[in-house]
Amino acid sequence: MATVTLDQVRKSFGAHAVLHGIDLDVADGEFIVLVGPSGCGKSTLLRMIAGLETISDGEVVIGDEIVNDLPPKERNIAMVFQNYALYPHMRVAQNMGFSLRLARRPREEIDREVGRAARILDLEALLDRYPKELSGGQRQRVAMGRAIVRDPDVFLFDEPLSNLDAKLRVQMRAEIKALHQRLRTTTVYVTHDQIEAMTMADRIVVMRDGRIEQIGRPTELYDRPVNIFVATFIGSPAMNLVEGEIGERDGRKVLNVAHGAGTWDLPAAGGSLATGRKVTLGIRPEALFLAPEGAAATIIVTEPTGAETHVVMDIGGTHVTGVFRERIELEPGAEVRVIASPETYHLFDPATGNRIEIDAAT
Amino acid sequence: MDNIVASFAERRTDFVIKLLLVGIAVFWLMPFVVIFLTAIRSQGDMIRNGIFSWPEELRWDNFVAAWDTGRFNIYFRNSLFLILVKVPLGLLIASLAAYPLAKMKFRGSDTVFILFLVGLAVPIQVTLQPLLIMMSSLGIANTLWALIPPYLAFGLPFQIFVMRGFFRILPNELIEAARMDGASETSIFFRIMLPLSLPPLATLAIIDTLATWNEFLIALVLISANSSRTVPIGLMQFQGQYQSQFTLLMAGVLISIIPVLLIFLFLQRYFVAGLAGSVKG
Repeated sequence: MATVTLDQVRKSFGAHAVLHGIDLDVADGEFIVLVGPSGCGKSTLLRMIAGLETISDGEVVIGDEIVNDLPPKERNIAMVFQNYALYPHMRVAQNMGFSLRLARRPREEIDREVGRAARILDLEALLDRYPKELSGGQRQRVAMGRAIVRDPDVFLFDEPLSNLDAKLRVQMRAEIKALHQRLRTTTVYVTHDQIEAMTMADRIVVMRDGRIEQIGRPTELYDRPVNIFVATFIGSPAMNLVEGEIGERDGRKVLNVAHGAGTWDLPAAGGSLATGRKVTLGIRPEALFLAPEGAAATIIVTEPTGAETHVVMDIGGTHVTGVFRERIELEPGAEVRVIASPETYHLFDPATGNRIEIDAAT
Repeated sequence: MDNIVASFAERRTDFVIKLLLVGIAVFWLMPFVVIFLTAIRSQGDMIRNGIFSWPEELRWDNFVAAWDTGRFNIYFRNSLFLILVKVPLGLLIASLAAYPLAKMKFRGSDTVFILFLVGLAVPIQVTLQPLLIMMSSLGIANTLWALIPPYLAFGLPFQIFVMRGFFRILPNELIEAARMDGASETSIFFRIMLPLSLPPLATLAIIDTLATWNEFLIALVLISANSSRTVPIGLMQFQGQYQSQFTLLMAGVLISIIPVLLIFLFLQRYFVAGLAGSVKG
């Protein structure tokens, strides 16, 4: 078990900088998920922790040792790759025991450790198989088994579920989480899938273009995204963004939504916002509800999913998605009125994309 | 009705194709048949009745005679020695050269690779005299050891070309996974990469064995001592300036095919896989 600390970690390939000073503290036993669109540098960062990429600048600390110049095998970490990277010419047991064999551990110890890992992952019946004789999910479990056998300080996962079909992905997600709860090994997990991030992480690190946008618990990111990028990245369907302007009605500050499609109340603290200020209003699809005092909207598409109905509608020229618990059976073109409670608003500065803290706004 | 017509037409096409294939196969086998027929008859029989006729009398003892008078025990031993030393050594060197060219980034790697490939364009004939001088000054001319360096050198370009192509398609993650598991670069090469390269290695082993076993020109020029002759040079003895013992020559040819045949049979399942370039992940 160990902590992982990144201090101003940078990476450049030639003149091209891909990571611009990453600071991150991973606590002992924590499950951290690095998430972001492809090309954001999350995998590169993971590979730098692993020792598979050199560190251009800054420090990577595992436990209390600076590991910048240590080769992977001296960092006591284990990594699970996206394509499993099982050795095709070795049986499952040999794959799992390879690291111990390299370390010249005694035969009985290798058998014991492989057996222990196989029991944890329910692989005992497969130990004599070759990787090509296994299904995708089984291969994934063997790859994890290979990681557990070594009892590492840190687990690294690089998009381990991307090659699995949707159903298996959900199942393996739960297995990895259960495994972490059982072993409590510090884990850094990379994915581009925000649902994986939300469901598995103790804390999520949202990255974009080589920088950290926000670090926080899943619900924190969901409830208080620091900018439009995080707001739209986390949550599915994505948060709606609507142009708005602060107006006044009966002496109270209100929000004129989408070029006059509606006028919505602001939270009590919204009084501090200057009249006439342009804002970008973020509303989660599930925060919208139908109400006569709401903004005028035209239905474009309704998508019943069974438990809920996804409705895409047009509010003042902007497409907005709503998720409703009730069954909505409206034809495209129908007129409705929708609104959201003021406390569910997220206000962003249209110029910078940053969150406007309503309580502190001036 | 249509079906019956179609199936009749299909069967006819099938028959024609098979007939054609049989024809080609017979044509292809003809030299071998002639060799075989010549090997099991007497020289007089061959001259009287021609090479395509059935022998008047089967002379299996031709093989024994060929083996003894041709001193095949020496030549076989020499050729086997060359194969056993040269083929594995060549493949090892080629793999060791190809792996970094395929998987490691370093300045000038493409240039090095192209320099290796240039070797494919060097004609053996122009190197014969320099080779002879070189081996003489090394003091190993006229011994089997003189053959090994040129054989290695002429085999490497193609072997490196093939092995580099194969290593390139092996996923990098395997190397990285092994590195995470604590493997040294040497272990990665010998315990992961090389075992996975069995199909191309087997293919190259067959090709190389064949080429080494049959190599004539270099052996002819560099070797004159009887004790160091290889099988192809030995076969030459049956052909004299005034008289050729065709029956013994053909018997010798048949004997000399056997080891190559055995190696092919032994390695052929890898051979096909190697040609297809298939890697099961």
